[in-house]
Amino acid sequence: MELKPDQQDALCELMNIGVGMAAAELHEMLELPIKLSVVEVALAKGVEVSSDDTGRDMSAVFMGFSGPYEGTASLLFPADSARNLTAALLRDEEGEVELDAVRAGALTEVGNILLNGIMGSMGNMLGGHLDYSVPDYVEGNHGDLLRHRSSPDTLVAWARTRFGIEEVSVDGSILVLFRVGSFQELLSALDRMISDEEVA
Amino acid sequence: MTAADSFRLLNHLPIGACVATADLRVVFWNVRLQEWTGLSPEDMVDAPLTHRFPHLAKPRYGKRIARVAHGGPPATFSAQLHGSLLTCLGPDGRERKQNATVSRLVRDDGDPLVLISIEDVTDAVKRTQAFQDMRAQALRELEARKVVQSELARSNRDLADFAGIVSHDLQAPARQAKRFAELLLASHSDQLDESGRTLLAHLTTCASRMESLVRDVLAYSKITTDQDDRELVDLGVVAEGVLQDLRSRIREYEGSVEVGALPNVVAQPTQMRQLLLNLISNALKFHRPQAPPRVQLKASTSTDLKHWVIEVVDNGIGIPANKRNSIFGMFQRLHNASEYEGTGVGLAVCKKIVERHGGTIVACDNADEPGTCVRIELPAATSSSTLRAS
Repeated sequence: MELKPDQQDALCELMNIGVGMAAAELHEMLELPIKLSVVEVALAKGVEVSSDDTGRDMSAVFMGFSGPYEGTASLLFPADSARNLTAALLRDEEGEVELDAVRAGALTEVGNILLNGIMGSMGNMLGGHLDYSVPDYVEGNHGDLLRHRSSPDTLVAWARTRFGIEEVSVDGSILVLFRVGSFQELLSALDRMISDEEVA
Repeated sequence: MTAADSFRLLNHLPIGACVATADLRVVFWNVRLQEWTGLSPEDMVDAPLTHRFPHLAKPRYGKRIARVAHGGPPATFSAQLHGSLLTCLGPDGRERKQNATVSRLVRDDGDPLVLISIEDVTDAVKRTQAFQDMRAQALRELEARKVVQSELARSNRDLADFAGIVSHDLQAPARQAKRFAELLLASHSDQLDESGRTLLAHLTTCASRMESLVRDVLAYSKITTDQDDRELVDLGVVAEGVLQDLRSRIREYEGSVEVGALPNVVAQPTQMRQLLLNLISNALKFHRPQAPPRVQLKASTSTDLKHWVIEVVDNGIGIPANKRNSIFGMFQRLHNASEYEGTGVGLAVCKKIVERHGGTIVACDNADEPGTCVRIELPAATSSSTLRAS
């Protein structure tokens, strides 16, 4: 699904604002140098945008939202990256956080902060009040994790993010899955954002 | 309806629950939190939460909670990154570990509230910590063992090198002493009396024996554990070569060696040759007086099919039951050199070869008649290995 260059830039900016807020919050909380950047964004129908990961074992945090727009915000890391990221967060010098319980707790919170940043940014653009579910940590196959949370008509705002904590650098995906019918509203919201910026 | 009535249901949940206004003034404090903190609803309700838990005023907590109160998504605070949100002590006097979630509620009058729900994960964290400590300890012990093993291997290598060098250097003088004694006997025996010739003959024998000993010690020290020079070895072919070498001795003893089907094994070829040579030589040598040696070399599989069982069976003088372990030690002899020649190193060499190949070697009685059976077990090369008739 092709976005116009202006829309692409606007979506990228939204994602960057969201991860920027999250990075600042994580830095404040962990007192660690955190680098978070959006490498690539796309808007698509279905979840094929990240098909490189299909079949991979992933660690994921999901947070549902409802209101004028409904869907699920999700953060997905390949399992090995999740392990490295958790080790860096917990300053585990052995670099091997093997226990699910440890990984789950820390990653849920990191995912929560990141997704809150993204949803804060997108929520401002979309307008209207959204209700959110409590974030949920899940591990599993990439395809299985997303299959029952999406349909071919699901609109996906996808961002590939790079997470850097000290020497550790891992890539993850943020997917905001919108239920059917949100596409035109989302494009309109992006266009509104572009025209507001032009006026400003 | 009071706030206590509105949220009474939260007293029945197995979690700590606190409801507060957007500026963190406590509206409801459930019984589980009372139990954990020792603070009653009377202590807490209407008071700012930050009075008892001042760290919540810090931006890392306060900003995130405020964002929830103002319509943002729920915020989670994990035990891994924070330890606890509403800090309190457990029965052991140590801080409880908590996973906390702060989510938004809206009162009937429209004012926002936050619900702080606390899951006590102290036991899980303790178990995790115990597991991690155990794992760290195991890794430390493994590392220490590796260091010791490496040191031991180095020490063994040094010892083998030393034995090799000493044996090699002793070989020349032993050989020369024997040669000079032989020369003396050949060229000047007429100038010696009978006693002198006898002494010289003893000297020659001793020099020969020293030469044999040095040669055998050298052979022993050369048995290495290097995996790289192992290959698939057909023991049938090895046995044929050994019998060729022993042809004259077999004839001399008027003996016979019967070789059955033998397997392929992954082994160092020259060591396999040395093994069979030593065992068949022994079987021929230790025969009964006036009884020609009859030796059988045969193989079968162990009951679990993981090993080849190779037996060298003879009709010789046998080995007393109480000596069957010690004969595999260095320089162990059951008879003096005048009865049976040898250095007492041959079976030690066999044991070292077999063990370096992951096998075992034992001596037992010949099951069918007086005599000895030396039984070797070597790992089977492949599950599909078959016996080959020699």
